[in-house]
Amino acid sequence: MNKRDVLNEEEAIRILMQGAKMKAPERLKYRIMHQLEVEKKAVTSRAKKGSEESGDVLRDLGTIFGTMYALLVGMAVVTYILFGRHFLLSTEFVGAALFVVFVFSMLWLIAQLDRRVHAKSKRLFP
Amino acid sequence: MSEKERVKRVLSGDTSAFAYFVDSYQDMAFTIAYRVCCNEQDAEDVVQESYVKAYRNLHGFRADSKFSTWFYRIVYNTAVTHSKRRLWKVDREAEPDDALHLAEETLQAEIEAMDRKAVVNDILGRMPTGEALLLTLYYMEDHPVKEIVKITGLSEANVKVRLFRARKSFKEMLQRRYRISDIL
Repeated sequence: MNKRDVLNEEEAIRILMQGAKMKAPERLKYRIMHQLEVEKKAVTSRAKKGSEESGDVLRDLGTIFGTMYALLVGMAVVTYILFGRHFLLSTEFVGAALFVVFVFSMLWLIAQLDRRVHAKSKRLFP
Repeated sequence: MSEKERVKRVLSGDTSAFAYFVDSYQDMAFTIAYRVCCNEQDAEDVVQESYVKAYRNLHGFRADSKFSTWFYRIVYNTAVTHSKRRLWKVDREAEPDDALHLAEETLQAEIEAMDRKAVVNDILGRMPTGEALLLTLYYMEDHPVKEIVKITGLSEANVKVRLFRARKSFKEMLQRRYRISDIL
């Protein structure tokens, strides 16, 4: 078989094959575009939810630790007025302040765990 | 508008711009998926899944390659995963006895009446899946060997060898099963 025959054969196969391309069903495009719209909405709502969640975390952080610092300042002021400057550096006062910090930290931790449990149950049973 | 600009539009949030890619490539994607899955329903599902994957990963599309090559690779991988088929292992071969029997019984008139498209699809359906897919990619869309390498992940030498074998068996089956020799 010479080169020309091979080329003719190639061309014949090409013509045959190109005529046999399959056509996707009409409804397929609709299905795809619909699926993409759903996908886009899901991504948008996920992003919105994510930013809402991070906003909630920051709000909690501000509320709980804001109260804690206010309480510590209040304690320091009262201690200063009642017992004087030296008592602020005593072990009793530092211990009390650390106890307050521990209680508020636990409060914040419990609030976060509670939020996670709620979010999980919401995902399972919306 | 070029494909790159359309990709940018989709990435900026205009989902409707993606319709162009669906219109342009769904037929070939469907053909590739059908060649691998051998089933229209599965092929539809594969094409749909592939478009969703392409949409999700569009930011990863590098403009230095053609969109079609990138997308057909997704279709190919999705179809292979979906069909759980080992594509490059010979899973179907024409049985010589059956072919001979059919060749004897089939009348030339019937063959001529048959749609060429049906003949080609019938032969491709009887060939090993991988070989049929290579012929589809090479001849239907004029993909050069280098692009087939990118789509299938085979080596260039491997594609060339398999393509040669596929072409040979396609020709033989066409002549043996349908006695069509005048067109080749």
